Amino acid sequence: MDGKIKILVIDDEVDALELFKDLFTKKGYAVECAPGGIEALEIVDKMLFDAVLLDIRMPVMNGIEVLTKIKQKKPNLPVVMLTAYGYDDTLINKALEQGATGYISKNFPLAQIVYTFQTLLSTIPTKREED
Amino acid sequence: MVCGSSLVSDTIVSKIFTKKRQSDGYLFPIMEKSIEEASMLFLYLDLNLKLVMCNKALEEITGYTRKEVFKGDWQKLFFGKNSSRREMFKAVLTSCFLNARGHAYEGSIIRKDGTERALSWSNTVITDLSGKPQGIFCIATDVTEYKFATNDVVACSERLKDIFVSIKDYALIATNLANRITYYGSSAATLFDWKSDMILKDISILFPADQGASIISKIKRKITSKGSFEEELTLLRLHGNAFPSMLLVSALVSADNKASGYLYIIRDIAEQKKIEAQMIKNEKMAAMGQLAAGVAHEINNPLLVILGRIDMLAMDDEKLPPTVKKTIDIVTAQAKRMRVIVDRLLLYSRKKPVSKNVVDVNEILQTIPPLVAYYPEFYKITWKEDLEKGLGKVKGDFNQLQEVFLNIAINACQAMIDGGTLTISSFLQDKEFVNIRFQDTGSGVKKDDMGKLFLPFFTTKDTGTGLGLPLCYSIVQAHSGVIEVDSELDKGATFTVKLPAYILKESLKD
Repeated sequence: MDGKIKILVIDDEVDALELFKDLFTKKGYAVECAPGGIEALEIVDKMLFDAVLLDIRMPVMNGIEVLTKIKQKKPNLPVVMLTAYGYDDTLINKALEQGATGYISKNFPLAQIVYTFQTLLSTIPTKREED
Repeated sequence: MVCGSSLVSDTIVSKIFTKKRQSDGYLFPIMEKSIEEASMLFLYLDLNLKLVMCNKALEEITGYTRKEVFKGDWQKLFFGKNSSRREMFKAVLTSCFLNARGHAYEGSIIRKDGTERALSWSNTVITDLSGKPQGIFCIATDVTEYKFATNDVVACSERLKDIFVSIKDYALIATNLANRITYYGSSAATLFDWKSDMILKDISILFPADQGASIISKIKRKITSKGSFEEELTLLRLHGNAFPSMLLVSALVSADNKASGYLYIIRDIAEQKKIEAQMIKNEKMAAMGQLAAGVAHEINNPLLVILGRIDMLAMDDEKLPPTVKKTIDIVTAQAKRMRVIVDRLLLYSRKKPVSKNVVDVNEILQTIPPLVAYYPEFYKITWKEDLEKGLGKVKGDFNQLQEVFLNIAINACQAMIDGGTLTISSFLQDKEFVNIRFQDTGSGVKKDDMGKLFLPFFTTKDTGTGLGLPLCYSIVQAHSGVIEVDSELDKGATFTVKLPAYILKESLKD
């Protein structure tokens, strides 16, 4: 434990994934990345996180499925959804019903993405999920 | 003109026109020629009813040559073995002689081919100067077609009257074999705006003038080969207003299995065509929506990376040389422009359910002028409001409808950038639709552009994205409404949003 907040970013777009990794690292987070749901679930099994940033639309296993499975494994782990569809209400509502903490539009400027993420996390107890 | 003795011109007719000949020397040959060429039958009979003279029409009407008629017993030839017909004719002529005056009479003759022709006779007794009858001049007009048609009318009226009157949604018209209207129902009169009697008018009045003959011949060909004719055609109302129709034509067959005419069954399909066009438009818009969503999604991710990476570079702003900073600014501005387009595409394609609130349209409309007032370039525009008090409410989404009205109002203002009047009105139509109308006095819409107004990316503005009106269309459609546009170039445009009324005002509840 180095005192940093540890997050897992899940996105099938590798360049976007790298961007979020660099961004959150620069902002002082410890960042792990997964390019898809299957890889993410393996990582979640092996490591402890303070929060997850999860793309809502992904091939093979979509964001809602990944969210459901993460919540089955770690019910208290905060998961924030990332959406390219700023107004994809149906999926967002589904995610919120499945226990997502909130959502962030990828269309926001980076500073706003970080700010929104921090705000969402501040609304719930910051306690790293234990096995 | 042919006379019995020599088959050449004779002086007998000159006797008829003795007085005329004396006074108008030039008139006689003209009259003689006119009689010879006339389509009516001219006969001159002596006191013994012997045929003295006839004109050329005799051959056309009776089928006999003049030679045959002069050679034989003309009465036998014309009236056949039917002695009562001959006796009747004789009686009429005798009465004419006795009274020394003419008589009009209608009777039929038998043609050489055995068919019957109905003739309308007008008989004039020719007298000498002392008033003594010399002969009789008989003029006959062939009225067969009229007689048969009249018979058809009677027959049709017996059989079809009840049916014709009962059928409301279809116009039914019966014709004879010569394409003359013999009967029609009240629905036909209504559909075609017929105010006067159309019996015996040619059915070609239904078709555009230059197409009547070809359509009728096509109908007959189809009936001969396939038994009936069925096609979508443009038909004309009385004053030439065209409308799309489904036309079905069948042969009218009499009880003895003989074709007696045609039955035209017509349905006005203007409304159906409008619905079909609307459905095609909706499908097109839905497909465009899907495409827009796909494009937005595909562009959004790379854009996120581009803008994100620039953002990150900018975080180290102070370390960057000025040329790099300038490049970053340009790339950022251009990428942000793309972002605006993507945002609007997402907005257009989103499938956001309409919230089911009961909203007051007038209340939404009252929010529009203050919002448009944010645009300083519209200062020359005069606003007029004519909102119906107690207008029915609609079920829908306040914010989405506000977006629609704002978009249309801004478009209208942009069309009047040098000044003009924007009139916003609301009214209830047929107790069913709440209409919201935006009428501007701007540049109007070109005829060619009318069909493209709601297509994504269609814009006539230099800086427009072409997504404003498609978004309006999509929202109004989600509210089960429609947007109608009417425009005259350089005179302005009128956009009317029609939404289903949900709660009617008190006075309309009963």
